[in-house]
Amino acid sequence: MKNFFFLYLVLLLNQVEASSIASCPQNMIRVWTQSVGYSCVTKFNPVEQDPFCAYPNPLGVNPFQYFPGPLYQAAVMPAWAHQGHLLYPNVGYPGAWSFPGIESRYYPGEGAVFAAKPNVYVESIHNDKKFNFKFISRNKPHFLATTPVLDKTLSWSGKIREKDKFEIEDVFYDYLFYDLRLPKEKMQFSNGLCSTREGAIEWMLKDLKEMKYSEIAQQDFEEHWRVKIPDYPYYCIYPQYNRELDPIIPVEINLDQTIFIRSLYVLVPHRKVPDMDDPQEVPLPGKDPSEFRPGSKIQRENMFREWGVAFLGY
Amino acid sequence: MLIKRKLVSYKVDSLSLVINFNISMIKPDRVVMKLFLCLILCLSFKLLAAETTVSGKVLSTPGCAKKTMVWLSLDKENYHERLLLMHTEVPQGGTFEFYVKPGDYQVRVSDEEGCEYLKKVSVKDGSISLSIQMVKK
Repeated sequence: MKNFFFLYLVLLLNQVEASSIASCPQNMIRVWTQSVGYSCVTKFNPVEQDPFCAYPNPLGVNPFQYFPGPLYQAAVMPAWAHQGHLLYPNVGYPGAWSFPGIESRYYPGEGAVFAAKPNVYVESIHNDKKFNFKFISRNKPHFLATTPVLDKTLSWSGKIREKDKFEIEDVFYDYLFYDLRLPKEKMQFSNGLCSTREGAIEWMLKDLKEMKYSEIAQQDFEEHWRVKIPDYPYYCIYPQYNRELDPIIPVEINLDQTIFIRSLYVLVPHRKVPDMDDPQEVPLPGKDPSEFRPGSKIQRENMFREWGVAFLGY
Repeated sequence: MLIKRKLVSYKVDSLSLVINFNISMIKPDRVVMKLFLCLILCLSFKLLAAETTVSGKVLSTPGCAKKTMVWLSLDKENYHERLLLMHTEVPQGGTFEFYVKPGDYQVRVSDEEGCEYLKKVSVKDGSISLSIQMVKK
């Protein structure tokens, strides 16, 4: 009898909980704050309300006035994303954004492809080995950011330490990082695939795994891009591998027994299922990209691998 | 500039003043042409060299996390206008560089231990270099 009463109490409480959740109107969610208690707020939905910065704004309208504050973000995200949402309205985007891509006017340089966060990882048999990683293109690349700072010869010099870390000027880095703009006309837009946002992330992770990227590289990729890929329902992916990247942004690694595997995924968002019959600014991909994937069977003493995700700028 | 002959004629009518300047008569000498080309080259070089950056070194601070996040945004007080342009993870002691257009920006550094740094920078031409000492709050 006691057990039945307890069960009844639990069911009753659940019903109350369910009914109070259901009491929020459509497109609203219930939140709790210390000062107000429970209240209904507009559901976070960046797809319906793309952020765009119209500053300086001749109409005097704040473009972010309906953009959600930090309270309404998804709960499961890395610490830096939590911090970022408290400080900036567009942490869930790869930069200044206006559908379907990056707002170019906020960034210097040229090139319609914004390669965000190519990260360079290393796996070596050595614990202590000097290296030099140099950008050798004839014209200086249109960098947007680097970590650490490049020297005057556009190179990073230091040591590979503990088999998978870089030591540069006595500081350990898990990876080398650069952002840059690249010319769209030199990239391929015929091989690739279209998928849901979740499917696109899963496919890219699978692709990295096929190329034997380290666990840390895969984890970094997932942690970063689950936050930074905008929440549109569909994406087309155009992978750029060594075949495309080596001529555009050539790199020289001054170290024997080295291979450099590169992959940069250009993402084009779609608000509805991509349809061949609809006019497309970027043609929908028609060929399987995997046949152009760099080989992963050959192993050398020093394996450099680089991943990145890019968006088109407008 | 050697001008052998310059014809300037003025014709005044009731509505306008028409100036006919016969430029076919101008024959600049070689020295002037070279100087002119040099000027163009210098100006081009100046334009090409006008790369503006914000770089920095995150100094080691006891009690702060090993890894920090460096954020670059527009310098706006209003949350909704404070557009994030780039961010990068930098270990303590590490360096970073952002390539930016001239303008006003905020450079903010934060970590999981509650350490913070904020600097407003106004980039005009050339580079700004920061030495970042975080403060634990």
